[in-house]
Amino acid sequence: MSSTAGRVVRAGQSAVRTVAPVKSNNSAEARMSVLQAYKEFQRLTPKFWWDFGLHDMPLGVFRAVIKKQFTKNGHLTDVRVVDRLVGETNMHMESIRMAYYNPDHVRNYLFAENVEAKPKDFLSKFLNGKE
Amino acid sequence: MHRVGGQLVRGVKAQQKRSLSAALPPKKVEVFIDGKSLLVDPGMTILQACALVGVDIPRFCYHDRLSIAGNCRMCLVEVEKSVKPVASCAMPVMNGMKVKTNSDFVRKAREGVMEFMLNNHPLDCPICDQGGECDLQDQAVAFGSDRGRLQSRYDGKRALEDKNIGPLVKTVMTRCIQCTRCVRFANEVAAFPDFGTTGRGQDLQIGTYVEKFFASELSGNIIDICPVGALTSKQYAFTARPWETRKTESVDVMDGTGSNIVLSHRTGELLRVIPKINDDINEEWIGDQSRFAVDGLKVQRLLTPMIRGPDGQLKPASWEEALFTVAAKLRETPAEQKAAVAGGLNDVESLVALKDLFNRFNSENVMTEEEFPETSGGSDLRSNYVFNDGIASVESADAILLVGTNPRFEAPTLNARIRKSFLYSDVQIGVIGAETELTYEYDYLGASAKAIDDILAGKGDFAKTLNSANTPLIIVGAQALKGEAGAALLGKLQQLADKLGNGKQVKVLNVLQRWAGQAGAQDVGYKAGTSSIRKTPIKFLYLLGADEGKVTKANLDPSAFVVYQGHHGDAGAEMADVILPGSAYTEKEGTYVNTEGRSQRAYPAVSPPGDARVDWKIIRAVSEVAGKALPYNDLKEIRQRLNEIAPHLLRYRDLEPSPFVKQALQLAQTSGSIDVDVSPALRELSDYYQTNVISRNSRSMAQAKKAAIENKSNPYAEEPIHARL
Amino acid sequence: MSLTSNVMLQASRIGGMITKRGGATGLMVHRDTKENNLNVKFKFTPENEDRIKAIVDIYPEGHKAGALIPLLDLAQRQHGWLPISAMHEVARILEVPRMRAYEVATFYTMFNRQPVGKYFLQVCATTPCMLRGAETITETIEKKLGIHAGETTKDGLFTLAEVECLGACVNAPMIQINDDYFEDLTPKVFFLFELCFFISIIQDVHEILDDLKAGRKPAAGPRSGRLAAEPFGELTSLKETPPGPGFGLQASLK
Repeated sequence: MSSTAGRVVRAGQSAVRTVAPVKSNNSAEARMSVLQAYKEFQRLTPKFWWDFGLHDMPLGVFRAVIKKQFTKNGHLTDVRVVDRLVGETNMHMESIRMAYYNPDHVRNYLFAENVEAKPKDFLSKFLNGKE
Repeated sequence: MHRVGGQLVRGVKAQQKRSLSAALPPKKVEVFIDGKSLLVDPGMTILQACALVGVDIPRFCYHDRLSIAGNCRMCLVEVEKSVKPVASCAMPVMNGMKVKTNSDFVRKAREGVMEFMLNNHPLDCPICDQGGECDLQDQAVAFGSDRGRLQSRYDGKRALEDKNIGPLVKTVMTRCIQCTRCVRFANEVAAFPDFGTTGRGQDLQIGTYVEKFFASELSGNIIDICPVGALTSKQYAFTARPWETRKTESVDVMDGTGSNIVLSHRTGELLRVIPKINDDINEEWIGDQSRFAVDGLKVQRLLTPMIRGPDGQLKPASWEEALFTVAAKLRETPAEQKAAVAGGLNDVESLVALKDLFNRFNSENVMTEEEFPETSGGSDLRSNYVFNDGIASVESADAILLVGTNPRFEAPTLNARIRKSFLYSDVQIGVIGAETELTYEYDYLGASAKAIDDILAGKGDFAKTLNSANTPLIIVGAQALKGEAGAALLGKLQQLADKLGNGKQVKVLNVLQRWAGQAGAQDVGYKAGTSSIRKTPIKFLYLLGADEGKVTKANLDPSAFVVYQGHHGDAGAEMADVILPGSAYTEKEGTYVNTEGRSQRAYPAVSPPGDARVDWKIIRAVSEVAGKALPYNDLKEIRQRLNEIAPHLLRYRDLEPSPFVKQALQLAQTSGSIDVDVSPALRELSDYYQTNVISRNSRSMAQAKKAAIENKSNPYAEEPIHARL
Repeated sequence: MSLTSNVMLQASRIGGMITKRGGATGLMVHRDTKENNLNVKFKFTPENEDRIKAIVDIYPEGHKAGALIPLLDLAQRQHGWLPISAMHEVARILEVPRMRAYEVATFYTMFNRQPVGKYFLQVCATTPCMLRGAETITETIEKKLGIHAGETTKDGLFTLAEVECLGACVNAPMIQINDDYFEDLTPKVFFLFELCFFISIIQDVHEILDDLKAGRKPAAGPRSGRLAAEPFGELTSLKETPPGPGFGLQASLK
């Protein structure tokens, strides 16, 4: 059911709302823009990797990390959301080029899941001491 | 029976600051302050009247709780029809008085007074501890002029030598502005008449004339009332500026009154303790222990859990090991062989957690170190063990009987109130106990409690005084109520209270607890006294801050396993097999119930050091590892549990009336001999300084105790009162 | 003398504890010295005990502290000066804290809390006397006795101090020795040369000091022949006979 308009389906009702497109008219255009953004980002990756002090890992590993950031949103279908994320990606690229970001913050963000989760139950919090 | 302390004279009846049941309220007087009209009671001074309107007049020598001196002249205001400016702190208001507090005349007067005061004041601000909280600085900025006319090169400034008044208070007398607040405090509140003014005019010096130790348990308060940096704290010298510190309000645990304090701390380090005004409990004062013993919190702390190895040495261990060891022993010991003993400095949350833990293991064997009789309803009826009438009621009492207590060293702020009552009213005080030097005149009725029998029978002068009093009070120290004789004494006192209290507003009988955690422990159901431990062999003992040595290894089964949870390594830790490091009163958010039964919250200023944890959380962790997890995970939940047990524990700062006095009397045991010596343990100043585990580890308190002992052999110190003719 | 040298002179007396100006009142803090410590005991003589009883009876019960000044003065008269033990004894008799006695004793400069000689020579050195040669008197005494102002002679007989106005300005210059005033230490108007004027002063002071050294009691009061403070010549006022009673009363009241 591809139409020029995106579709928003309300849960619990079978009503369908038709909304106007923002940038891409259909999912194919959205996919093209995503791929463009991805390629652009990977071209930027060596500079990103070096300038932000992330070269304690091989470049290939870093590229895989960047790829993961893209694939983690691969399940999205709404074209407007995809468009917005592509726009954000472009903004991130600009910020990286202008060195707005703090290297430590970048590292924390990219590897957040590697950080040990804070303890949630009483005994772990107690033993940890830093409740 | 004889009168002791005869030369302690009463003061002139104070101005009517608070009306003590006047027959008719006096006709109010109209005053105009800066154009605003105000109706006030006739005895009020202009300064107090202005305070009612919100006009704060600068002053140095006036203090709410001391007599009026009027010597600093900073409070000058312009009164219409008066050529000279008027000292508003001393002038009573008169009808139709028009007062101007901010006219040019007044401003000029203030600038002049400030200039005079700064003329002889040294340029010590950078090195003075009072900088930042100095009245002179603040008032010079607000009310002084920007320049002085002193030519110090030609006129010079006077300088005075520093006086040595002990290891607690640092004096730099050059900075003194001779406001005489300290002199009035020493003479009126602390009953230390050796502080005075020698010389006159330019050569006036405040001091003790001959070098003497400021032998009073309230000596630290002169640091607070001195408006400049002449009297400062030796412990806190050169440590911090007030704007760098954070202030946390909390409750003091050094004695049973629960005085309100403010903890000043910075970057996780506790720097000093100063009092917080609470008119119901401690007014504006705190005792020296409460103020200076905090340096004991840095010393001899338990920082890691420790387990006693097979060679008998305690070795540091991890929390998991310690908890596991404790939980294992807890599970395997049968219920009758388990016991828990709580010390006196615990907050109610940890007491509740411990009792819940033991109850879950079917043991009811939780007790406090301090003893209390089981008769008269024991700990079940609150009126048996709290200060029923409230500390503030001392001010309106007209006869006070002290039994087995020395309030001077057990509760200095309560004693200050009794002295205030003594100075400004006709209260008659009788003492059964030791004939110590108290700060008021009293009738000594003997050391044995059988004097109560005489009073019950109406024999003796003091009995007549008590019977004819409108608001009699009996203050009995908790330590007098121990053993069989204690039970009988409690019964007899309740009989006496019933006889005296018929139809009166007061409940008459008040118990003064020595420990901050005792009333709370008894509120949540702890048994008082460790005698039951000696009856059955105990194989598992849980000590919660129990450092007074009431239970020793000899009292237990030879194979007993002792767990100590506390914050200092003292007597309890020495006999422990596992040590669980807990936190002191400045490091945890807890509820403390004072001797009045008033529940108060203490807030933490610093975090527990090293690997120590908050007490109730340790017990909760033990319970989880032992398999019977207690149902609360955070402070809100454990406070809900407190609410279930005793709802008053969450009604902070309220004095709850204790009913069931008649029922307590019905259950009282009044037979049995009370011919026991009820002399209190704290007799002289050197006994006061180190009474609990924190002050025993405090360097300042050790120095103060040494100074107090040396002071006894100081030939210039006056002989104690009962040695005089 | 300039300010600095005055200050230095004063400073050099502090070691001796009696200042050049101000008498033997001593410091406002107590220092134990050889003569003034707790081992130097003090007890009132029996006659003084009777006096004490009489004095204390004046004051109502509870206000015995009012007798502090008379009793401290009595102690000073008995002992010559006021040691710390005397203050303690007075405080004990009156049942006041010792600090109250210290406070009163330090407030008044006439309470000599430092040892003084048998004769305490106090030379008035304020303006009227200074105009009439008080400084010269001080110098004379200093030369004669060999001590400076603020010191005591070796035999313990004389202590010299310059003090504030003694209220005998009409009879300036004058000195006070213990309780007696020796005034008019210049003679009647001598129209002689300065040298003779100078000699007269020496003569008066010398006479007094020699009398005291010999154990005689010199005549107190004005040394010029006057009785008290009356004018040297004839009266300049109070020449008429005094009016009788009813002087100046309005007629209706007569």
